[in-house]
Amino acid sequence: MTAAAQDHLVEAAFERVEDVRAVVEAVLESGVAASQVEVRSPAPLEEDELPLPKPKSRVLLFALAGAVLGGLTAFGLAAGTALAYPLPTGGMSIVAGPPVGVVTYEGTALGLIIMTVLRVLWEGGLLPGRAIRGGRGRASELDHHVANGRLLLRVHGLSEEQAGRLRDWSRAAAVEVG
Amino acid sequence: MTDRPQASARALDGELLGRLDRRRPGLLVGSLASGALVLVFFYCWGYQIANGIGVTGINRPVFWGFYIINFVFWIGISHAGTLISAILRVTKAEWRRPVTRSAEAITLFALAIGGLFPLIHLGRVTIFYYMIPYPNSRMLWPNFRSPLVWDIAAITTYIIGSALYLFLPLIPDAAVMRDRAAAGLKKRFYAVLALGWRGTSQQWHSLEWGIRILAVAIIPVAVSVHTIVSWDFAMTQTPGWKSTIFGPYFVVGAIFSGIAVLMIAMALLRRGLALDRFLTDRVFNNLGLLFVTMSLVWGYFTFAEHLTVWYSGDLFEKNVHHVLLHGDFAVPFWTMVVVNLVIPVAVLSFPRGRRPLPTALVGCGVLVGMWLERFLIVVPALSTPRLAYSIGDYLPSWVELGIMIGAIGVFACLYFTFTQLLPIVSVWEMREGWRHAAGGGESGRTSGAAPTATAAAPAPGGGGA
Repeated sequence: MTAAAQDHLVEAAFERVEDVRAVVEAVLESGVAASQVEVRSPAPLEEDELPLPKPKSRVLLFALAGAVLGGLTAFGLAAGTALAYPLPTGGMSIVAGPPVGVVTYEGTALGLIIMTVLRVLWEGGLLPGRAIRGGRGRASELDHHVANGRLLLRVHGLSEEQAGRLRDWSRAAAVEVG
Repeated sequence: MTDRPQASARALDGELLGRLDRRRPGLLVGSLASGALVLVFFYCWGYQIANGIGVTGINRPVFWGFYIINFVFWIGISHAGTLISAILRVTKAEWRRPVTRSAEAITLFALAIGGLFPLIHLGRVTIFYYMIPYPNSRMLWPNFRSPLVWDIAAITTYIIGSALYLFLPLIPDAAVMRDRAAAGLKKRFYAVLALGWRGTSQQWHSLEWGIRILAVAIIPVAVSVHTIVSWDFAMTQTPGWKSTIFGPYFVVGAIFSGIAVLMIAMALLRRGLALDRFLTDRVFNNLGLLFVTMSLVWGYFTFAEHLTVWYSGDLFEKNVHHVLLHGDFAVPFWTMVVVNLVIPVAVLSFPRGRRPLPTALVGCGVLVGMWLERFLIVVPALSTPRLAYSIGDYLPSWVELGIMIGAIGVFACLYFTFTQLLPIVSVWEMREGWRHAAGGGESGRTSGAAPTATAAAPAPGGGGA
């Protein structure tokens, strides 16, 4: 079988999560890999609602890295300024704790916030130039269903026979099959 | 307290989207009216830039006038959104869902305006870059020991954080607008904002993580911002300013005035966009309870601040205290106490007082009261210095008044424009709330807006706190 023959995409819009779950279970049982299945929803779904692997996220890790980076940068800026332009004031330290602390605090928060958002956008494929793997995340003719509160099931890389079967399963409950 | 009759999630979803799609002439009129005030703002500011800071009423010894009062006031209002929204998100208060977007937008716009006032106060606005640390041929570099530079650091962090905290949850709704819009400029606009959002499980998972982290991170940032603003005063030796409780006092006042704006904005949105099925009586009741609590906390701090000053017997402190309570500033002082404490407690302590109209009216009074509070912090302390021969007076000029009124117009214009362009109620968060209320994730498992024959979602904006 050629690559083109294995590259069928089936899309179906559903009203109810349980209908999507039934179709996804059938698809997985027929031998299709979970990585080929994509479900788009109008609101976040609970982890156990679909028989698909839980998505992974490293947002927290990157947020903490951003906090450290931001904090160190701000500390360097405030402490470095104090050393570069020393103000000797009667027994007080040149690098004083309170001002350096305040600036470091704000820098830490800023680093954390910026890195969090960048990582969210990166993981979601929302940054310009971020590669969209295997057709995931591409615009669909049926996206308007998601906007209107329905769920969109997309299964990539199917053979013609698999695609035909999936369309048959979907027709029973789907609002539209593409 | 009665919630609206229950209806299916699908019907509510359709209604919400319909409300957002419909054009409201009232909003357009509001934008145009506030646009006129925007012109007043820029005319007055331009006049000051052309003629110098001498066109204001600022002079020795009152070198901080309306601009710094308005700076503190607007920064306080900015605590409406991000802080309140973040606290409600972190505590998972279900009734937050229709409120958060509106609150976050208030924060961003109020902060942008608040941040302008120190620049206006500079007079020569073009020299603001002296405060930015970048290597330059003039060897200018900010002094990080100054609380004014801490302001720059804190407000920059807060404005970036607030903008991103507003933007991140807006992405899925921008995608909704994109996919519902007809081809053209509007669709392209929403497509840019949506950044290619499709609603995949990975995108939702990452977004939820991001919002959770930002909600936790933004709370200490918001607290730090107004604390640092208070230190602009408290770090000095000026009688009336040198106080150890100014930090928390300012933060409490900021949240209090923030809720006041939120109550007014929500009452206007509920009426103007006919969102009464989403911004329900329950939402107003819960925010009203928070409002009256903040009024009492503010009253406690005010009492504690003035009691300790009076009891200390310090001559210079007592001079300022005297003009506040019994002298030239007694009328604004006692007006402030009435509108910030007496009226809110009298009205909001009763369930009938926690409805949209009474809460909005109380909110208007509190805004006046909180502006007076900032005025009473700045002016009496400066006009009653330690040396009797330098006692002075302050009267704002028409330029300062024009800029103050114009700033309200800038805020209203930005808010009306935002409301016309983007969903002021977060669609996906409402859908998520309906799912939870209908038992989604356990047995109901509707798609959020999807109808089921049996599962009827509770009224929006309801749900347990």
